[in-house]
Amino acid sequence: MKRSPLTLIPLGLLIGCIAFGAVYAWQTRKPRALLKAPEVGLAWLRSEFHLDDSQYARIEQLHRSYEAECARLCQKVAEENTRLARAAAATNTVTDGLRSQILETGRLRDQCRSSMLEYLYAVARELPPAAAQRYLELMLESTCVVEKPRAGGSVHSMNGHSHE
Amino acid sequence: MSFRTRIVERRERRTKACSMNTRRTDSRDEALSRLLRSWEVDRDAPLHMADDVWRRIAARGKADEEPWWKFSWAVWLRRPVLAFGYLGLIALLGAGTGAVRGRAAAESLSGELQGRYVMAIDPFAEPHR
Repeated sequence: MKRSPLTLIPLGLLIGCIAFGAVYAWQTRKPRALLKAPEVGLAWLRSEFHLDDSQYARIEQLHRSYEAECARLCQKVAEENTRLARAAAATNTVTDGLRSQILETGRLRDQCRSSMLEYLYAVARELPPAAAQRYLELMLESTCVVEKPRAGGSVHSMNGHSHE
Repeated sequence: MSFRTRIVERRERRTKACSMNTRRTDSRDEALSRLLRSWEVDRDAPLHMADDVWRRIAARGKADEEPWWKFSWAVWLRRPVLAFGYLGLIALLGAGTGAVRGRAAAESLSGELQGRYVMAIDPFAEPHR
């Protein structure tokens, strides 16, 4: 059977698609593998900062104890928030009770932040100096330890409410 | 012995050697000819080979002669070098695009992974977008 040379055009497209898919899959193989890990966050930390087994084991332990502490504080924050919501809905003026409720939720929130910062420092101590600095920069940028104004330069509250 | 005599002798010797060589070559040629006569090609050329060859020659000539605005893929791709070049170029383009898009996707996925870590440690973090 005589084949037309025009069959090379779809064949070329097929080869192009295969080449694209192969290189794309190769480039993204590492993050895709990390996404399948049982604990994605820790797997990312291990890969990003090239942790060896002993470093990873120590950081995992720090992570576990921080998780327990964080869960305890989160429970308290949730309870205080429920109480505050109920108190705020029951009145239309800022009473002393309401003010102290607000301060209490803020205090708990600050406790969470300082606990998180302790955890971040503890993790950083397990890393080599350059990696530790990069880790802290990344985490201080991404977490709520240091509150940052949002894009636009105006002052914002935590839930996005703006004061122009 | 005179110079003339020496030249004549040398010429005779050379003629004699030449005739010996010719006889040897003749006999070898004879053997080769016999061998060649006995050799039979037991495989036919592919059907339509001659037609194909002429068609390719015609296509090449046509491609060379035709002006660029009468460009024909069919004629152009009939040349093996250009056909393989086309396939190689497409493969290279695919691989290059895959590398660029793959790197961008890997960076985006890496950002998502970092976000998952932050979500795990920060109770007030917003989901990664």
